[in-house]
Amino acid sequence: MDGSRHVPPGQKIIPNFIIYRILGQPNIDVQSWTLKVKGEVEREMTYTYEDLLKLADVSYVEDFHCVTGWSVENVRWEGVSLRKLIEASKPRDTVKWVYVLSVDNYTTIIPIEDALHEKAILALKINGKPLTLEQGFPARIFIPHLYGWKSAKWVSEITLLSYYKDGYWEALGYHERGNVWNEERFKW
Amino acid sequence: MLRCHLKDSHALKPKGIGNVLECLPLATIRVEDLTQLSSIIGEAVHHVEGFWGEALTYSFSENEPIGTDYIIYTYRVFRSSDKSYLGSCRVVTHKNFVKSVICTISSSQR
Repeated sequence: MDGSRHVPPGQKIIPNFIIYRILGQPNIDVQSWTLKVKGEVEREMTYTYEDLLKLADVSYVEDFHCVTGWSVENVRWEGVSLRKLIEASKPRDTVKWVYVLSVDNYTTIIPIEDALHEKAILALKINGKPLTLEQGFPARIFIPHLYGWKSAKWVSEITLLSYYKDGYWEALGYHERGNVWNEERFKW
Repeated sequence: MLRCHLKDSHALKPKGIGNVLECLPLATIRVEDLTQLSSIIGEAVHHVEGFWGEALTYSFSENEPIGTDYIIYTYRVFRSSDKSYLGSCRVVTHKNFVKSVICTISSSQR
């Protein structure tokens, strides 16, 4: 690195996260909460929060980019590799998309190649501490090169699909992939 | 001129939205002012009027930037007869050119 900031096009660094809860703040009982991986797989899997803590294997510092134009730099993220979770369910060769459902019924969709990226994680901690409720406790997606609406909070199901279907923001015209460096904000 | 199609939207049902009308411009439309955008919304809403079979009215609500090049202009849509709220329309613009018009239709109002 040459020390200069490397900010994606159209983004501006701000000091802290803006919190969005488009469908409200869900109540979470971590004792009964589970994450399911299902869909076009050979083996459906269900994980408890304790299971995921034991599987956590990734830690890195990356910036967060919201599609509205703000970014927060140098956030430490810790969690479980999405690749590990997906491969444990033995997805069929036909899988092309990862459809994510949250406890609040928020949905989004991610291309399988982005979900399998080495930095794509199910995040359990931010900056050394468990996620707060507002940040998606017990678990949220984080993929550094995709806009934040793909980083669904309060995740409850990951469904592997051979076909595309809109999630919440995609139904309102936002991009199927949402790559921040290509400025993929909208479909058109 | 817009090309529009109406689609079901399972993903927006938690927000009480049953359908989405998606419109794309058939020619380049440069944004001049809100009055001009109102006429574009009117054209989009006309497609929804066929869906409902009754007259609709609309009013500007807000606009917001998305990054540095996009601005979304939001309009609220009402039933003309009793002014009840039916949904909203969002005009997505890029560098002041219309990219799409997306109208969301409340599922309780069908």
